Amino acid sequence: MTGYGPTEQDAVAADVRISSERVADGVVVVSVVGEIDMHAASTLRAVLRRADEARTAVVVVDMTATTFIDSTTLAILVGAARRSQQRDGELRIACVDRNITRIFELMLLDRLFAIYSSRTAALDALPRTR
Amino acid sequence: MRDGLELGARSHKRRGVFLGILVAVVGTSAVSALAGVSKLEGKPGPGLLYLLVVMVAAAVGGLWIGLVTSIASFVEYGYFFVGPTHSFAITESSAVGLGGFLLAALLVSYLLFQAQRALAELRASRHTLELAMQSGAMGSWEWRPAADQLSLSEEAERLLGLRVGTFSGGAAEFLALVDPDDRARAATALERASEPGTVVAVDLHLLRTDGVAQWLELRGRTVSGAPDDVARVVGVLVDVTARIRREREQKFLADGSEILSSSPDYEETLARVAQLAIPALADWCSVDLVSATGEIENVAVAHLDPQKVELARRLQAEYPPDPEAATGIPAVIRTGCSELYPEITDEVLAAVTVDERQLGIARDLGLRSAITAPLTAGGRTFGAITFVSAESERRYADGDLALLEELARRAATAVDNARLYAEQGDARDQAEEAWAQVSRLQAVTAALSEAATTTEVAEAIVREGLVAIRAHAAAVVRLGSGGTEFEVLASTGFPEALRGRWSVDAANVEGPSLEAIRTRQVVVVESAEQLVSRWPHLAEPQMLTGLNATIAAPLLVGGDAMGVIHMSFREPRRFDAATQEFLTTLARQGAQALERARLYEAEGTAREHAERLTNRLRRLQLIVDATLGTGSVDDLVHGLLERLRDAVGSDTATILVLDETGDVLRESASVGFDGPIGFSVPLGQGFAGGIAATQLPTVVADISQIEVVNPYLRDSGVVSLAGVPLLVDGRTIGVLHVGTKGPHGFEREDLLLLRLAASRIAASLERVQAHEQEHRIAETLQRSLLPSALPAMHGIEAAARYVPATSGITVGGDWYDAFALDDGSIGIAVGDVVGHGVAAAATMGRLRDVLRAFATAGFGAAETLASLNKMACRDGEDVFATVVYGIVSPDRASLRLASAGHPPPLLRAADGSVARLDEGRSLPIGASADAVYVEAVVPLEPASLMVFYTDGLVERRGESIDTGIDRLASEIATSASAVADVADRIIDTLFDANHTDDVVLVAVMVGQLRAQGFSTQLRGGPRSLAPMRAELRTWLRSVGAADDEIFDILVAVNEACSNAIEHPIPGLGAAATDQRIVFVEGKVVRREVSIVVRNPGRWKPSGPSGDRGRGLEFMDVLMEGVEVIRSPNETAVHLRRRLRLEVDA
Repeated sequence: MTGYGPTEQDAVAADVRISSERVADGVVVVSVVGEIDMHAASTLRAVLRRADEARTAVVVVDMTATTFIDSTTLAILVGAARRSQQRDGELRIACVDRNITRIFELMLLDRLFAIYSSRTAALDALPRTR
Repeated sequence: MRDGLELGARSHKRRGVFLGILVAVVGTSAVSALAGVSKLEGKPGPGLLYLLVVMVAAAVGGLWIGLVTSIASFVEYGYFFVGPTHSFAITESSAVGLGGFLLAALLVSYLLFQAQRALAELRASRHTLELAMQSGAMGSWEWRPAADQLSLSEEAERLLGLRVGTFSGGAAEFLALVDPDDRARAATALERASEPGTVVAVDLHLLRTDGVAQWLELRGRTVSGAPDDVARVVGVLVDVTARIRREREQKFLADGSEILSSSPDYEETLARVAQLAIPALADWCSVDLVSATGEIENVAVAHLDPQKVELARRLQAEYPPDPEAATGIPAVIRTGCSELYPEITDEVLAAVTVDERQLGIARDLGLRSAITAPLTAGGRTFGAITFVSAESERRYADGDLALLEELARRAATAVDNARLYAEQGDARDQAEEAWAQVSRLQAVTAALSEAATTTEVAEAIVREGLVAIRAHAAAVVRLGSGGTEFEVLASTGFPEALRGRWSVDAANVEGPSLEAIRTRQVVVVESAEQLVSRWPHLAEPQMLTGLNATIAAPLLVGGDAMGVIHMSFREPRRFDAATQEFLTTLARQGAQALERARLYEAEGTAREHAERLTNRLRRLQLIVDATLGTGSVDDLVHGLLERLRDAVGSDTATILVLDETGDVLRESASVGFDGPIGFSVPLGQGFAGGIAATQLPTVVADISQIEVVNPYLRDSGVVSLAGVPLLVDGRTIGVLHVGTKGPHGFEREDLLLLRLAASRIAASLERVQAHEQEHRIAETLQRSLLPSALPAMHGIEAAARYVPATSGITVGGDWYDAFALDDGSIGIAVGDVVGHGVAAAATMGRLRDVLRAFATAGFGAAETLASLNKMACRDGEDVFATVVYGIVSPDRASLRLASAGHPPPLLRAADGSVARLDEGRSLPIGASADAVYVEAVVPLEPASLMVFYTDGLVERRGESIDTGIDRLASEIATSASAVADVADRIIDTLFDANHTDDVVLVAVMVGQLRAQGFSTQLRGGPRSLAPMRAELRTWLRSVGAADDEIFDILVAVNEACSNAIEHPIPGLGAAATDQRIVFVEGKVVRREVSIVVRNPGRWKPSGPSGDRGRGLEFMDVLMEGVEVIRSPNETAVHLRRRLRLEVDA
């Protein structure tokens, strides 16, 4: 639990923004704005790792403003989902972009994490039953 | 202890120092003297011993003096001082003494060391000298000039190639061993050496009895003060063969290079280089080259003995090299690797020879050693140079091979350059040959067009044919009278008896000519034997005429053979394709000219006939006055009809012409009807149809009694009719009839008049048709000479239009051409030959070919026009043309423009402004042999539009050409962006329907192709991905991809690029990701997007590692085709996806 403020921002490029915000105890929202590629992925990886190290119970990745992802992004999300499962945490994704959700479906990742149509929907959902 | 040392007592100190220095000086002098003596005398033993004694003495002396002075000073002053640190105290004087001692000891040690070193050096140099002597590289000599007695050491004798102990005599005997060329220098050197104080050194070449080339350096000087007081000269002989050889090799290479660069005839220069190599470097030198057919050819072989050279040549011819041989010259040429045979053993000879005889000859030649080096240039081995030693017994080693390889390298470069030069020459020769061929044809065309009568045409064919293919006899034979008879129209070189007419059925006319007529093919007989074996009855005529080879070409008109051109030669010969082609062309043009002459004569015959009638029938004067050849055909026919109507007193007169189908008569001209008419009558029907079918003159007293097809006839109130057929050579081409609105009895004389008019009209119509035919010929020729379609050219979009003149024989002369040049630039030429008709079209074809030949040979814009002009201005040429030639640079960013008096091309910039390209203008081609041609550089930008044209597009009667150009400019300014549309619109708008000149138009758009494809590079590692995607997204949108398709393609391409960026490349290192370049190129063909991502290096785009590795899976899911092509230098990912068809909203 070191140095983890309410809002953190990592500017990667002018039009890419990755930030995390602790909205409640054990609930962190990671907001991803813009195009996430190999260059931006390291920031996302770092932010999710910090949430994991803080043993955050629910991590919501808000991708409602994400316009592009690549296989690195997916790999990072999968990794984060696996790690949170191992410690009974949960990774939820808020995403409306049909192109991106189609990728999740094509790669069969919609089975690994829950995808919600908005940030609020993702936060309001009940903890997943196991 | 040194802490307590103090110095004082100046006088004792001085004394001590003085003594020390004294000892040092004495010691040094002694040692120096001894060292010098030992060095000079070379006897180290006693000198060293003596030196040691002196040194020890000096050391002991110095110590002693030091001690004594110390004690003395101690006693004298008798005090000592004990310091607080309990150090020893020493008196000042003893300290001085000790100092002196130390200094002396130091000096002695130093001198001892120096002496030892000098001795060691001495020993080493003696050792070297001994070694040199022993190894035979050096020998000593001594000469007593007074007695002229020369003694040599054993080594010196060996060096001179003598047996040990065999030399006796003086300077003369020694000089006899030296190469006569060097003898004078050797004598001078000996003489000078005998002068005291002179040291000489001179290089001498030896004549050794064993033939080994050897150079010695003779060094010597006088030794004076010998015990017997007889002056003697002593010296050494040093073997400097290696050095001299090196110098000679360098000189050989320099001389060889000079020879190679002296002439482009490399076979000659190689032969001279081969000569240069013997005998200094080899006894044999040969150069072999790979011929155009891939065979190994010996181009030079050199040996001092010409007979041996001849032998080698014979051997070469008798035993041609096997290109697959495992060793020797073929192997060197095949592999490009040199070969060295230090020792040619009998086994080697046996291996490279084919049979016992060859082996025997090879043995006799006494070949000892050989080296072969490849001639390689531009990565291609095309020959080899070989040195072989025999008589000289020389053994080649690596150093010799290096020399030969260097020579081969220089020779190969020279040959390569010479071949390139020759290739350029060939291209020029081809252009000249094409020029000559077209010139000959042009001469034929000109001669034929001047000939008016059948005989003149036939004579022109014979004359031009004889000159052009250098035949000894020629004849033009016509098939006449329905194909049953031969008529010799013109003949040269054949017996008189062969002239006249011959029945086709006669047995004695069978031969090449008749066969050519029957087969409608060129018949070739290469020899008299061939002729007689095919046509035995021609054996006798052949003997009489002595003619041998024969070629016969049919004269074809409309696919039918009307005759034949027959040419014979006194010798057997082969007819190459060019000759046959020439004869075919001659026959084609000749046939047309003969046909034209026939029509002309037919018309003349008719005229004569008419004139005869005129004398008998004054009334006919009216018609005969209507002279042919003035005014247009329509005017003529119309005038004839009116005169005819007046002559026969009819109300109407009508001409109907059989159309091309031959089934329908169409009204062609009429007088006496109200208003416009135009009707047709089927063959065989009605009045006119019946005349045409039966060819019989017909008179109808009352048309109500017959079937009339033409409603106008009855409607106009015509009652009586008289008609005759229009005949040409017995063929119906139409009908002429007259009508009266009251009953009329046509008399015989009226019919005669009608028939006369009909024959005139028929001839005129036929002439019109002949005119049209020539117009068509010229147009066809013109079109056949122009490119049917412009080639696809990268970065350029071009459209060309040619519109021939609409009337008369005025086509010909305008041309355009566009072609890609080797360096990636594009040449565009538009020209206009002054003149019209077939001749202008032929000149045009010639100019176009020559321009293209120069252009493709790499000539610049102005240079090309200058060369074209030079050709056009040669004697006997009558060419006058305007030409504009532009070269679009490989990057499509500039145009080099040269104009020979041609109207200025127009350039529309991307912003729509139109400019005239007036720069780079010079005189027209053919205007002056001294004309200077210049060129201008015009910058181009993407979407620039250039328009080249000929004056027919902008010239109108009564109007300045500038007005026309301005009109074209404003048309271009508002034209579409696709070049084909631009060209069509210009032609549609500006083309004058009644134009009397050809029009050529070429529209060229720059950079259209680039806009259609996608190309970018990633250079900044991962951070360059986002800009690439933005660029790609824009492009995909521009080609009409939907948003989801864009997304998928972006993801796939992004994956491919990410892989390329991050995968380690052997040799580049993982840290270099930011320096890697990734190329992305895309295109769309029929809605299919294909994108290639490639980067240098070989990587394997699979196998998950870290957070990446699913890239390929991604691409597979998103694209329809994913192909990874890995080559050693590059990895390329090809991605394909078909876009959905656009749905109109």
